[in-house]
Amino acid sequence: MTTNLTRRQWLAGTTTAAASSLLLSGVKASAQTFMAPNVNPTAENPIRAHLNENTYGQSLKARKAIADAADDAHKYAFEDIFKLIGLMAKLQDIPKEYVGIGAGSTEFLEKAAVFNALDGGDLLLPTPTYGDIGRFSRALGSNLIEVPVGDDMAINLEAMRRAMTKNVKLIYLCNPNNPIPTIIEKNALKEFCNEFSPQATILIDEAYFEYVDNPNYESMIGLVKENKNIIVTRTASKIHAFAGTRIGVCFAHPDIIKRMFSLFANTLNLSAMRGAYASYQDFEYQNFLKQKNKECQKIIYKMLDDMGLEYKESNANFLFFNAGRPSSEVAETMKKHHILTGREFKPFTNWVRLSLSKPEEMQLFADIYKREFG
Amino acid sequence: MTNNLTRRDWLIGGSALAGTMLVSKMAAAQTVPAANLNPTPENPIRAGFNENVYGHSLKAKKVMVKAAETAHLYDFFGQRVLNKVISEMENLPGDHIAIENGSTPFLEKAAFACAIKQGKVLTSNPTYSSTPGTAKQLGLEVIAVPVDEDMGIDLEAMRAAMTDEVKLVYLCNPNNPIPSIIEKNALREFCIEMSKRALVLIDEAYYEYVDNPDFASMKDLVTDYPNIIICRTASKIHGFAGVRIGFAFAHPDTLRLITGPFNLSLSNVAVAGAIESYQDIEYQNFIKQKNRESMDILENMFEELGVRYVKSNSNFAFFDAGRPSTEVAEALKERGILSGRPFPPFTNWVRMSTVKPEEMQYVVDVYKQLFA
Ligand SMILES: Cc1ncc(COP(=O)(O)O)c(C=O)c1O
Ligand SMILES: Cc1ncc(COP(=O)(O)O)c(C=O)c1O
Repeated sequence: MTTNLTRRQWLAGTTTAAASSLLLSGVKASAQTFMAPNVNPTAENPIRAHLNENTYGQSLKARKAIADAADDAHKYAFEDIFKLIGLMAKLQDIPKEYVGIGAGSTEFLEKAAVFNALDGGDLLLPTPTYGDIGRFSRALGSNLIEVPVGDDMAINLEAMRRAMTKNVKLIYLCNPNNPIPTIIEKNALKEFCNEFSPQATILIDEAYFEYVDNPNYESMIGLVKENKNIIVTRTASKIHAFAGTRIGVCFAHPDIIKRMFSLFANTLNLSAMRGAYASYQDFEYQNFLKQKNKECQKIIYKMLDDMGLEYKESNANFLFFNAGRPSSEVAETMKKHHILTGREFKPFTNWVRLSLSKPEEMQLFADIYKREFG
Repeated sequence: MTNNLTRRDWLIGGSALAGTMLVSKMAAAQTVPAANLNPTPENPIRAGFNENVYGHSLKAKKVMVKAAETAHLYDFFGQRVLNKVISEMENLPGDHIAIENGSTPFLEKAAFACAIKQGKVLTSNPTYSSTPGTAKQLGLEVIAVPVDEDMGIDLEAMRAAMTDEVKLVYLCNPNNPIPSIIEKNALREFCIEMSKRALVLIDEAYYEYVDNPDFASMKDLVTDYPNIIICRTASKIHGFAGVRIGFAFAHPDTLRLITGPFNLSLSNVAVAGAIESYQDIEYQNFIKQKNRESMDILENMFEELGVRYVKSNSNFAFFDAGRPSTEVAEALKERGILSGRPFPPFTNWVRMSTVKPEEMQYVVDVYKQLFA
């Protein structure tokens, strides 16, 4: 099946249920945001370029599995989790005792923060980065050591090394990072992990893993296999479009997995598990999205190059660029055109985070942006 | 609308809806709304897990099929709507309500919160194992006070067992696996008193099934007593066991201990379904009535056979089979009937969840054949 065909299929499947369902589920968007490009955005139906979602929607195979599961969803799902764990273990070539499944990866970030608080440890993390684990740690009363990114805007391992103290029991590294879509060079990262994982648990958040196409990048799942004190988290929220469906996966030593999941944690949605089981095996769909993401990147790079704006090469499904004016101003202007862009990320208040939705939508963004700010 | 009509609606509506779904499993479409009177080990009568075997409210089901179309987006709006629905229904301020993937996450995180204070957990035995089990996994000491002679939770004995090291008191009301309740005035006094010394969590998972003048929810205490937490779930009467929606009611500061910074972790589909289901009172009444019919069938058998049992306030029964419950479970399983696991020290007692009345009658017939 060619990508074009796949895409046509996508578009065909869209219109019917979407319009009413978006309203019912409370998401303030409508038919156009779902799969078909939204080239006539309105206030009710804006282009969603603000939350790093996958606006193409889910793999058709996943949607079918989810619909089929509806008749079983009044039952506790005891077995499905083992099927999904088995699949993840197979796909990553790791024993299944090293795999945990959660309702999105947020669950692991929370649990890691709780365990760190239990151990009375400090949290070492870069800034800016994805904020969940920091916020939750603060709420639990943990001390945070935040290390600014380097001049290259990448996570600064050297500075983190210097900031390390005996009290740090948890290190959070988001790779690729968010809101800056940089990666950490693989050998330096491995060395860092080997150096500090005896003393602290290192959580590597690989939410955007699937989008990376960079020879300097490597998942740290290899170190998990070597029984290092490392947790790698992944999510179905991004390339699999499960943001509102909720499946996350983590890889860690069986002792950590056991600590994270008590015996009968029936907290997973049956249809989400069945959907993920289908989606993770639908490689054609994932390739389609990766290709679309690249097309989006190209369109925005061209705009930024044309306008001479500074940006970081993206390793994810979003871009971070220097607008030369407050990002809040850009957000407001673009909102008038019904395009939602990312919120402000201090201290980079002039930088805009733009989620890469669909090429047609990105072209519209570029056209309007040039008109407004060119 | 009469109950008969309602039920017919179910059967009709159930298959019509299934037909319109992307791909329908015809077998499932029939087994879900209709009774399973030819159970097999592969397609058993599920009387083992305190589920709602009728499945979801049709209104909820319809909305969930549609909500699946937007399950690729983060949705915070739906949560707010659900919060408002519950807030109005329970007459509680919205900031005193948290939503999670079932009540289990709250039960587990309460144990975490206790562990952070390096406290002990005080609870009864037997009771629902999530909180005490998680606490034990975290290395905490759990003081489990045996139920009294009537098999009710023994507040007096718990009071006597209370120490300053206890930072969490867990009570399940109605209890599980014993479907007893705690008398409301005694419970209220106990909660207020204990909340001065520890977090008090009342797990009201089976709240909707109770029909007993001695029972009251403790939810109205949460606005005055910041250490009291009430948990509820959509897993039981709403049939959301595999969908995952649960609630905690408590002071906002207490809720912060047992929830994340903001809840990204809810399924749009589950939230949309819960909004409908909680407002579908007719459906809930239908399930309650069916539960009563099934419970009557079971309790009549207990009376007839002279079997000792605890009057149920819930969607399951607990009875003394006079032989190891494992033996009963095995014999029933061979005939396609799942019953509860053993609950020490009551190893001769069986927990049996209600199923559809027709199925319950089938279970009773088989039980009598085997053991009468
Ligand atoms: C780096 C990172 N980690 C985790 C998450 C949350 O993911 P999930 O939906 O799996 O809970 C996000 C979502 O934006 C993210 O950007
Ligand atoms: C007393 C009690 N609390 C909580 C639960 C778990 O509920 P949930 O499905 O909401 O996580 C159960 C389920 O059996 C239960 O019996």
